Amino acid sequence: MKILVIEDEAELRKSIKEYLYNEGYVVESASDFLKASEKTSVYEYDCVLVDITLPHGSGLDIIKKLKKTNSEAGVIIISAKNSLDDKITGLEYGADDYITKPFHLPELNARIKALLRRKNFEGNDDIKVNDLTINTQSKSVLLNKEDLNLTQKEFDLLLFFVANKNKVITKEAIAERLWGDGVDNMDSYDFIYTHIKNLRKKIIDKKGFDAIKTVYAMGYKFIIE
Amino acid sequence: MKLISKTILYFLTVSIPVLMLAALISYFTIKRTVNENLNEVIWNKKRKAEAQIDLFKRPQNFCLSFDSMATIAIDTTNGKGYKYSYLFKTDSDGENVLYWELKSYYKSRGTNYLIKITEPKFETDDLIENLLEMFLITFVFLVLGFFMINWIVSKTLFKPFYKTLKQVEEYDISSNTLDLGKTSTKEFKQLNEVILKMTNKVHADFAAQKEFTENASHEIQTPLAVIINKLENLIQTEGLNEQHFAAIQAVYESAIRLSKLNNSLLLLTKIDNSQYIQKELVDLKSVIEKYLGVYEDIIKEKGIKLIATLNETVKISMNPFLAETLISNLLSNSIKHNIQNGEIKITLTLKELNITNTGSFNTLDTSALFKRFKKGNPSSESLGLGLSIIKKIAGSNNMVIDYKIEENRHIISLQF
Repeated sequence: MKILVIEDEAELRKSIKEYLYNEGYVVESASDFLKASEKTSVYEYDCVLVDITLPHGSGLDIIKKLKKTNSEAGVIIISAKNSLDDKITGLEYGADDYITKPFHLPELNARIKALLRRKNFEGNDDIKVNDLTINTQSKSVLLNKEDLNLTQKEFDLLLFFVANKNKVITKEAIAERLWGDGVDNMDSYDFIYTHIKNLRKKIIDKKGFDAIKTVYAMGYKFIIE
Repeated sequence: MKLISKTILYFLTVSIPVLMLAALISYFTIKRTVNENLNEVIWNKKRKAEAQIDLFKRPQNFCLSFDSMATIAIDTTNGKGYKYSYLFKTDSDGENVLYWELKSYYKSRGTNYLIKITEPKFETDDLIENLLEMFLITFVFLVLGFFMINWIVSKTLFKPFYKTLKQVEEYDISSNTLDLGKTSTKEFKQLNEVILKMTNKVHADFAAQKEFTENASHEIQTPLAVIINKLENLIQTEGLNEQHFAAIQAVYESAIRLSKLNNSLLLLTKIDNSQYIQKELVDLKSVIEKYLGVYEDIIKEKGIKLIATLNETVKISMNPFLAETLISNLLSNSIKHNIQNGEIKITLTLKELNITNTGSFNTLDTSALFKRFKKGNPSSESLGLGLSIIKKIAGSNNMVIDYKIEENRHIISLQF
């Protein structure tokens, strides 16, 4: 899987590249409009992450170009502007998703995975991890051929963990993933603990591998057997 | 008061005294002229009578007219000079008529005569009545004429002015569209030019300010994104111990708080700059239900009992994003400042939204609470911007907000 990161801020570009590289992607990057349009016109990518405000041009024009050439690449806009208008404009240009800075890398990763899944597997999308089989279409999880009976939140949580397996995920990233902007106003993330506890219990009860580990102070980690 | 009503009012306040003064002057002038005429007539008759007396061969009484309005009589009182006096006489219709009488003495050939000349006097009452009638008619015509002129003026002459007024009234700062039309009147041309200059300046300032706040926010969010993402990569490193994690978590949390703070301040500025003026009919019930869904777990986690009485059709014209921000802030406040196993009561009616919740603190300076960065609990992690955002949104949508504490319950109400 090949991903192009178009972002003018060098350190941000490096961080994204590092995280995605460790996920096993082939990651390329472009720091401005000209380099980005050159790369997108020469190479094919599975996914393009594009910042709207770029030196020498707008990210929106790159999306336009990609769509014009019938590129198969999924497009995720990375924007510093959390405005509905920009979001709508970006999606109208043909972007598949929109993420606002600052974002959590596990969140970006999960979105890329979901996008690639949608693009590549149309329907047949079982994810096998450890002893679990996750079907994102029916939103069901099988453990030793038995249904795990997860709630919506628990399912989303598991999917988020699986997308970022073997990575430390912070409480903040989990909270935002599961509750969205609504948790911005909350002081503590204690409520996450209950959901994680319940998910672990369901897996352990069915004699599954206890993959969710607590990482001191930071959050959690889903490890692979 | 309308311009037309005002000009008419001014016209009336000036024209009524002027007309009254004119009537008064006319009255006295006419009266004087008539009296002078009358006196002249009488005086002529007197002179004629004196000429008659001079023709008398012997002293005698004499009637100068058939109706004995002018008489000459021999006087024995030896009177001198002349005297005018009023006199009432009953005429054939039985009406009292005023007369003006001259009594004049005249000596001729040793005999003293009294000449009496009586003439009907022009009645003052009639004069006033006639004058009043005349002036009233004039006045009515003047007012009618004035209304007509005004009507024509406002339909034609003032048309560009009213057009400008309407355009300015409907002026939208973000789109800056103003069609003032053409006019040949110098003053209106000038007015339109000034307004156009002003609105262009206002629009340019508005756009610059909007750009500045957004750029500032962009500039702050980018380094924060770098901090957050660098740390998210850093924590993947093997061999970090608890001390490392604690330090990283502190930096990480602070960066996230800073980012949220930045977002909240940007939101407040944007509301101040009226950047959320696009309104829609928002169904408040569904917005509340949406956020109750978002906070469901947190409410359950805290063991809070939720009582929601939501009226079916409460539709409010406001910006949908602001509506969501308002509701999410109100609800999260009622959860955040609640106690374990507490209670939240939400009542939505056509007139108001009332949220009552059990609270973690019972004494609070409610007047200072809406100020920025004022926290109910100083040690809390919250930004202290929630209530000022609520207040700002409520204020920009003409809602009345009220906050009080009664019997350990925090009651916040919004009147639409």
